Amino acid sequence: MSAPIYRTDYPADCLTHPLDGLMLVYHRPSGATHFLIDPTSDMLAILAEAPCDADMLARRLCHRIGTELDDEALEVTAQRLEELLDSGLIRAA
Amino acid sequence: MEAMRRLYAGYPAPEQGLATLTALIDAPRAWRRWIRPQAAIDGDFTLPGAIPMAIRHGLLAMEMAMNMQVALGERRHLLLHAAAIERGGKALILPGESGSGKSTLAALLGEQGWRLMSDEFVMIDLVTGLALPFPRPISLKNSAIPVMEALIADSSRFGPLLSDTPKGMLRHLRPSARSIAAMDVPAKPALILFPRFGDDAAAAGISQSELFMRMTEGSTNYVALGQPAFETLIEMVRTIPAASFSYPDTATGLAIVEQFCAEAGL
Repeated sequence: MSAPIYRTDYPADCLTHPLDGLMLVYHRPSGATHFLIDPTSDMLAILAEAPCDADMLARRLCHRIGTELDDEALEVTAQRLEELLDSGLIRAA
Repeated sequence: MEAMRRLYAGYPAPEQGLATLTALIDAPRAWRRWIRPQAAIDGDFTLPGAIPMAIRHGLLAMEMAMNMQVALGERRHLLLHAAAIERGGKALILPGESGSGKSTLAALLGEQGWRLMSDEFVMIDLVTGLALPFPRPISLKNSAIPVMEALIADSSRFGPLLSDTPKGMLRHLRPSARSIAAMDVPAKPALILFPRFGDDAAAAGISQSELFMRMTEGSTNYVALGQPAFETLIEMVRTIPAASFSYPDTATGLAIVEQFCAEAGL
C-alpha cells in the first residue's frame, strides 16, 4: 500500500499573520483559527507547492531549513503531520 | 418587575418601541409557580441544562437571561466578556471572568471621572474597531457592595440586596445618568488590562500572541463571526497595548489602573 499523499489549501484559503515568531492562521473553510510553530508553517508551504508523502516532505523540509535528514527529523515531521491532520489544515489521500 | 422598573429608571425606550431580543424568566414546571417557586431563564437563545433560580433571585435571573441573549445572539459586533470605561474619547477595556474585579473597578472609576461603558460586555465594531457602550446595571458582589454604597449617595440607583445567590451577596447598581445618556457614543480602545483580584500587587506586559488568545477565549461570538472577527482582533492586538495586573485591594487596583492609563495616554 503506497504512503498517503498530503495536500493543503494553505495559504490560498487562509488568512495569515505573523505574531511573536508564530504564524496565526484563519482557515476559511473550517472557520478555525490556529497558531503555528516552526516548522509547521514551512511544512504547509511545502505541501502548497506540491503535495507529497511524509518522507518526501521531511526531505524537502530539511533542505528548506538547512538541517540534516535524520530519524529525529522524520519523527518531528510525522508528529506535526498528525497535528495538521487533526487541525484540518491538511488532508491525506 | 417593580424592582426592574426602578433599576432601569431613566433608560430610553427602544426606538419605535421595537425590541430586537427577547429575554424571559418563567417557572420550569407549572407547579414551580407555587411550590418553592423558581425562575428558569429563557428567551430567543437558550442554554440547555441551565439551573433554575429561586424566585427571590428573580431580578438576577432576569439580568442573566438578558446577558444570555446578548452572549449567544450578538452577530453584528465582536463581543468581549469585559468591562470598559472611557475618558477623553479613549476606552480602557478590562477583560476578565467573574471574580476578577473588573465590574468593581469599572464601577468605581465610573464614579471618579470616567464614563462607564459596560461592566459585562464590550462590543467592538467590525468595521471601525470602536468600542460600543452597553451600560446595563452593574452586578456588585460581596465586598464591592458596601464600597459602592458608601460612595454613591443616591440610593435609588441600587437594586435590592440579594443574598445566597450562586455568587454570594449581590446588588445591582444603575450606571450614572451620564453613562446612560451616552449609550450611543463609541470610544476608541486604547488600552487593555486584565485584572486579577486577591493577589499581591504585580503587573506584567502581555505579548500580542497571548493577547490574541486571551481575547478569543473571552469572546462568545468570535468563532461565529468568522473572518471579520479574526481581522478585527488582529488589528486590536497590533495596535492596542495590553498588560495584566493583580491587586490585593481596591485602592491598589485603582492606582495601578491609573498608572497604566497615564503611560498609555488615557
